[in-house]
Amino acid sequence: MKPKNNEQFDIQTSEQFSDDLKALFEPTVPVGAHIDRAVMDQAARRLRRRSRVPQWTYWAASAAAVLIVAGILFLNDNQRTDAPAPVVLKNDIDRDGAVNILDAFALARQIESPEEVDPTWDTNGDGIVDQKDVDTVAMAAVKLNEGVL
Amino acid sequence: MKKTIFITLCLLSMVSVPTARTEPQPQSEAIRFAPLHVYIDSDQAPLAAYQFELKTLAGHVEIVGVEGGEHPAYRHAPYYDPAALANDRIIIASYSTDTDLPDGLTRIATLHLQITGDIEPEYELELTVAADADGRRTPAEIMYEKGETE
Repeated sequence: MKPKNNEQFDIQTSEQFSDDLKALFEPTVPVGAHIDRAVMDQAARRLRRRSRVPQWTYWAASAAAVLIVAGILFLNDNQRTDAPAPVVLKNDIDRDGAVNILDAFALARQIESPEEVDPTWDTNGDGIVDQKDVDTVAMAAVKLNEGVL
Repeated sequence: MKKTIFITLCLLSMVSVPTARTEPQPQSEAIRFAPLHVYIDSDQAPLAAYQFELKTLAGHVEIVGVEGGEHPAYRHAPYYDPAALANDRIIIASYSTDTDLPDGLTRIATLHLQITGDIEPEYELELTVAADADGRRTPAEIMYEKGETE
């Protein structure tokens, strides 16, 4: 083999390594230079063919990626709009999403008013809506969350 | 023979070290009791309900009692979680449906604290909500004042 072949493929090897390879793969019978060149030309053609990727495949891959991302965004958006209504917290009398003293206060005002009290505000389940239910809601408001400390 | 004695002494010293470590340390830290007065300033709005949270930032403090405020509408003990006693964090709340409600600066509660050690305690107060007589949230300021050590 000629040294210029190594330069052609830009292979950086040590001289010792090249010598060892030559000794290992040296043909036992004499091979003409034209055969050697023909083998090298065929190998080069095959390598060129493998590395040639048509331009359209890049465009197709990009388009597929855009479609996949758009599909995911579309599905997520649909899930958001189809989401069930937020769960109403127990003791959240004023339905503001938090249980605090304002819930107890709202219930206390309702009990003291002449209007009929909503039976669903029977928070302690004793069948009557009274001061005990107000206390239940107020105690829920001040309860320390476990694991916070 | 000497070797046996040496090994025995080594083993005995290994056993005695953890025993010495587990001996209780003498209690030298001073314990004192002090009140902490909590005020709300609701400006011109009548204060019909409040809720706040108190945390200890520095010092070793345990809450040992909670009492109401100065205005008749809040003189009764407020709501709090009994689990907060013997702790350093508490949520306190109260309301009043009375027609006579405090406005401006008013003491809403007093906490009784047990303080251990010499580190001066520091607290963080956060007003969760304050409301007027119609149950509408109203802007207000919360503050505390350290009382005389008992």
